[in-house]
Formats: sequence, structure tokens, C-alpha cells
Amino acid sequence: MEAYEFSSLVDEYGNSIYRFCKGMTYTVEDAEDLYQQTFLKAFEKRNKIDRNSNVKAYLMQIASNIWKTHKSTYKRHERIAPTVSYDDMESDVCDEKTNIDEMIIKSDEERILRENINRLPDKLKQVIVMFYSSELSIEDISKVLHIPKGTVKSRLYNAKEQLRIMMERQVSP
Amino acid sequence: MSKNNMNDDLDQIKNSRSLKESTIKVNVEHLNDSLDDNLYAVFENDNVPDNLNITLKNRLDHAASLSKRKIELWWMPAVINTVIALAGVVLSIVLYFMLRIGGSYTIIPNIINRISVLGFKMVIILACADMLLGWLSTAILIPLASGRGLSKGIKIL
Repeated sequence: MEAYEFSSLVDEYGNSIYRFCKGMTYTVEDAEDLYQQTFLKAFEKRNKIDRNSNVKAYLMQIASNIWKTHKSTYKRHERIAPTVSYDDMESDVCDEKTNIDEMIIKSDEERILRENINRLPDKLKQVIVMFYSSELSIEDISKVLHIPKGTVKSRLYNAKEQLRIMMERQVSP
Repeated sequence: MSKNNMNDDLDQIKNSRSLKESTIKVNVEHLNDSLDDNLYAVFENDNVPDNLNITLKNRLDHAASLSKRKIELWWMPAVINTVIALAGVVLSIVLYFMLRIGGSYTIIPNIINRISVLGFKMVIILACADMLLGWLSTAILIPLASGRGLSKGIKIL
């Protein structure tokens, strides 16, 4: 793949990769850093990228590997200086049709779910984020993580069960 | 601000917080029922900021332009050969005049007998021939190799 063709990959798969990066990290800055590192690493290996193959899964694999290398750093950042991201609030810009109550409710729902996803063990969190943020198939996830499809399915099931349990505890502590 | 106004504000905040907490509890129950939908909804608004993509593409363009540059080092073998040959010539000259100076006979008497002007000239001639051969072979072989796509410069990244 030529260098000038590579930027089209950013336009095509950028959102999926960004959603994965944001799901796996704790701050927007770390997510943006991971996002850029993913594409820069992919650019170094652009000769191996085949447009006819599953490019999204390949990029996801790179992102996943970089995340594994730096996950302790991301956790440390969150531990030392936990941040509250206002990006989600910014995206819900008030317009005349938006009900403010609904906006608050929605942002709270998302915040609670994100917090609970972050509490999941890394193996489960990775599968959940890949499946729901980037909408990868079970087969693609198994190729990215080099695990059998059955393992992906069981991790997905376990992750959802753990999320349900966390939710129930929040309702009735 | 008067004390009454402040109390009113505080009461308002407390009421809104309690309403919010009860709302959250209801919402958490709702989340449980439609976990799949909510998991999709959590991520669907996470779109890449425009400025981030602009920065990334600038970095990719920079990386692409750097990857095109390369340094040609075809001349290096000939230069190294020349440097070594010249060093040998210099050393030969120094040694010749050192040993020809009076008094050196006592230091290395056996060597003085072996050194002759002819031998010294032969060393100089051989060194010059070596340098010339190095440059000639470079001048002939590198264009031939380029034509066959064999020579490659070293790329800077």
C-alpha cells in the first residue's frame, strides 16, 4: 500500500479504532495517544496491509497490542489523577428539541455503564469493547486476540453477567 | 447574597440531588433490561475529533516524506580504501626517514639493512595503485549494479 493511500484508512476506520481506544483507556488524552500510535504503527507496516483482507481487524490487533504494552501506564494515569471527561456532555449539545432531563439521564446512564465496564477484568473488558464499540464479529475478535471463538463467546457472556451483577448491586447495595 | 437566598439555593440543590439519585436508580434498572442496546449506545457517540485526525494525517505525511529520503553510500568502500592506503604511505614515509636518520641503527639495526630506496618506492607505488583500483572499480561496478537494481541506498527514517 502506498503512503498516499493510507490516509483513506484513517477516514474509513478511524471511528471504530477511536471507539476501541476510548473504551480501553480511562482518559481522552490516553485514548487519543493510543489512536495515533495505532495508525503510525500501521503506517510503518503499510506494505503488509492488503485492502482485500480484513483491515479493520488488523488495525484493531495493532491497537490491542499497543494497549497491552501501555495498559499499566493508563491505569497509573487514572490512579494518580482520575479525570471526569466532559466530552460526552459536549456532544449532547442543547438544542431546542432536547429535553434537558433526558440529556442528564442519558449521560448518567452512559457514565455508570462506562464505570462498570472499566471495573471489568482486562480480558473481559477487551472483548466487550471490541464487540460493542467497533462491532467486530466473534470470528474477528478471536483472530485479533488469538483465542478460540468459544472463548470469545464465553468471555462476552461472563462480561455481560458481571455488568448485570454490578448494576444490581448499585440498585440495591 | 442574603442568608435566606442562600438557604433557598441550598434547598434547591438538595432537592435536585435527591431527584437525581432516584432517577439514577430507576435508570440502572432500565440498563439491566436492555444491556445490549445500552452497550451499543455507550460507544456510538465516540467519534474521532476532527483536530485529532488533522494532527494524525500531518504526522503521517511527515513520516511518508521522511521515508522517501535515502543516503547513497556507494562511495564509502573507495574512500575507506583510500584512507587506509594513504595511512600506509604516511607510515612508510615516517618509518623510512626515522630509520635513515643517524642513530636509528642502534635501535633496530637489522631492519635498516632491509630498507632500500627501491623498496620504499615500491610501497608508494603499490599504495597509489590500490587507491586507483578502488576508485576505478567503484566507478565501473556501481553503475552496473544500479542498472540491475542491485544497489540500494540506506534510508533515513
